[in-house]
Amino acid sequence: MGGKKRVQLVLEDVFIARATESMDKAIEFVGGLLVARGIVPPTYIGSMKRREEIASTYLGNGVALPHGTRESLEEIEGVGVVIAQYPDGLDWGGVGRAHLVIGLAAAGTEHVPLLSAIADAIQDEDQARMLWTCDDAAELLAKFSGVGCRDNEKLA
Amino acid sequence: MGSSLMGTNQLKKLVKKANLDIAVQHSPVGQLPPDVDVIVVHRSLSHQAKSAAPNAAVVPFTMFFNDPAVKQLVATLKAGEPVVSAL
Repeated sequence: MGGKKRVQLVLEDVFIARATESMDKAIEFVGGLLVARGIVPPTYIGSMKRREEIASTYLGNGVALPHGTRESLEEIEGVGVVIAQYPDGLDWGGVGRAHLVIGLAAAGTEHVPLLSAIADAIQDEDQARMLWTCDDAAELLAKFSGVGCRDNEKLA
Repeated sequence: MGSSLMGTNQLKKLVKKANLDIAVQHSPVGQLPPDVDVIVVHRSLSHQAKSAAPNAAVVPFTMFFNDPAVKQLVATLKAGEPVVSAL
């Protein structure tokens, strides 16, 4: 994916129904996927863990958005977003219980529209809750891509 | 890159929804503009923010969505009341 093309999630980016594990393991899982895709070097995973020590990336409503520190920006090649769903949740550094862990690596700003779509999908607690347990990766994907099948998003 | 950017956008939306003519911008804590009035900052970075801009009101938050401190801030701004610094 090159140039300024809008970043879109695909099915391969979504991992549903994962068993509860530690925050570090969850970071290693999503970070490992970013590494495997050649977007970041393995050291990025350490940077993601460090970032949690500086300031938690727990967003609220059961969602965490782990990413590297500012210093890691220059080691990122392109954009990567992967979503891991934990129906039973996991303790996110004592800040909250994460049911959706969204691993991110982005050097530029082309991922910002995607972040906005994700924000729209999770800002309502009830809607976010449905995503915690939704067992259809395609549906999850649709919600996060801003093309949700439900039309009640305007209510907010 | 991620969470703080999302937090900025959420606050922008809330400010716009409240019809407030207030500029909201994203800034790393080490690069705060010296003339900033209010700093909305993650709790763990709030002391750093205060020392970077001692005259600004600091509003620490824990969560990027539905944080009570941020809701309170918008209500205060809407009422035209001064923002009280938490630090």
